[in-house]
Amino acid sequence: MELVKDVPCPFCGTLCDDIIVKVEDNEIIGTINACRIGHSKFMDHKSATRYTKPLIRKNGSLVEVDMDEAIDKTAEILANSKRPLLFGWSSTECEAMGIGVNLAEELKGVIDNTATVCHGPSLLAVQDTGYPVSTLGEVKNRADVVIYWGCNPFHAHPRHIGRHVFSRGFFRNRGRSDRTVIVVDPRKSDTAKLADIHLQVDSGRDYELLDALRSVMNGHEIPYETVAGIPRDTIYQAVDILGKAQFGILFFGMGITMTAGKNRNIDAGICTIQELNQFAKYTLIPMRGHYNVNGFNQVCTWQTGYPFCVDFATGYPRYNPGESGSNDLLQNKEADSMMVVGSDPGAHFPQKALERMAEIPVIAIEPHRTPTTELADIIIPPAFVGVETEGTAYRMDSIPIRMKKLVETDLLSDKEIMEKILERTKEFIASK
Amino acid sequence: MKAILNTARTVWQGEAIESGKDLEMYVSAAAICHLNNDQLMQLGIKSGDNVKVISDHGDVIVKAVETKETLPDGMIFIPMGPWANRVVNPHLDSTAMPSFKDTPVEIVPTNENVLDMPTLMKVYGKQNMLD
Repeated sequence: MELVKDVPCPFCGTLCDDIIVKVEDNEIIGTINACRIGHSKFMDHKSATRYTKPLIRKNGSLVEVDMDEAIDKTAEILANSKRPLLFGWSSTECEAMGIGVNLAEELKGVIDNTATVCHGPSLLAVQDTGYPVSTLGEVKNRADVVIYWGCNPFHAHPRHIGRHVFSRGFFRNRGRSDRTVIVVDPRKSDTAKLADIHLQVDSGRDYELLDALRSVMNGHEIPYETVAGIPRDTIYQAVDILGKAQFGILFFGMGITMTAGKNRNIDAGICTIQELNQFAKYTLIPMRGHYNVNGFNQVCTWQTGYPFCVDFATGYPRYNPGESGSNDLLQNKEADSMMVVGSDPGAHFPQKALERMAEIPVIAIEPHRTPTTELADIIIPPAFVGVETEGTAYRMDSIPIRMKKLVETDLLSDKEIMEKILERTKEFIASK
Repeated sequence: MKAILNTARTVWQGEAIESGKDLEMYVSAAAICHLNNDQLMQLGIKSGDNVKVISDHGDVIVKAVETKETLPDGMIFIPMGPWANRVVNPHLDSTAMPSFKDTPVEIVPTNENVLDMPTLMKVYGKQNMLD
């Protein structure tokens, strides 16, 4: 048995890079340090359906085909579409994404990633308001006030709190007891149970609470008994703690990106952090979900100038979330074909978008049987990045980390599949 | 019983999606509805009974379970996934982002069965595009 050390975990945006993986006879037989979710990702559950051959749906059933036929059919569908949508990307590596952007340009299609159902509103807010960020290393070494707003890392990023809050840092050598933790959540979540202060905000009223905090920070009094369900005195107490910090950090999640106000909530959150800098050093980091959702936003911005929802219909990149997002195109019945890479919209898009996926050709570059493959016409199975093939991923604080190859496989990587599709698509377009 | 629906990740749902979405583990982790004990009593059911959750956008059968993360009054919780997404509010508010949280729903006891993932996805009636 070989112990492979310092392995980055290809599950969430925390990208823990201290996993030890036990490899025997080209098979992973165990992990050390991984969370419950990361462990499942490495272990490749034997009872689950793992596709190893390309499949095409014929007469309602999936039939095995060779790779050339699957690539050929994929390129033909995409090249013959008026409004092809290339979606996903967040669970693959940056090189594959780069080719995906080239493919979208070639097709005059739309390319979008899972940020569209995650931190898309944060991307909009960052462009409007600013992005006062730090790295997770700075948080661990310096932060004495930690705010988790609308996120539940105990469940969604299981080692995030252990690695950055409970851990000892250079200036926080007692770890958790050197830090004050504030959690904002309408539920008594497992993360809220660990907090020093739980601001149990009324669901969907985060903007009001942020406004109240900013008012108090700027010397005003609150004329109401409660704001957004929080007693006035608790808000005063929270501001007192925030103002006495040396280094504060705001981590935020879907609890404010998905609720009423969406990107405007994040605007208010960023403004709060900017204003807190009159008292102390304050930064923020969005709690990114997929391990490389941030990587797509980086790659897409390098190549097109925009992080997601990029529309090449006019031959140059246009960006208009609300019109050029995946859910806009599906729900408005604009998209007439869809390719899914490194994600599962079948599981994570609302019903109205899935109704459209059921009536257009869908190509899934996907290793497992998922809700998306249930709606797919073509399935091309790739190798797992970070397990069977290497590549680069960006952590939630925009630090690039090289993913490792742990076992050998005959399967093509997402990058190799994308190269083949791009090449064949160019031939189809040239022949038209 | 009227409620607002909250959805989010749970560690069990995360473990299930990485293990395999065609496994029973996924149904157990994501085709469930977290309720406070008083909500179970109000519905006249016990943890493990099935409920139907209905919104303006669709309906779904899930198993009611007593939550360990106490909910505020009037809120129910279904882990993110294809069951929750049968009922969430798909509206985008010109932001490209659907409203996966705070969907008004009606929740009622039912004897109907919870569908597994492949059966659930059949409700979308995938058309044969390549025949």
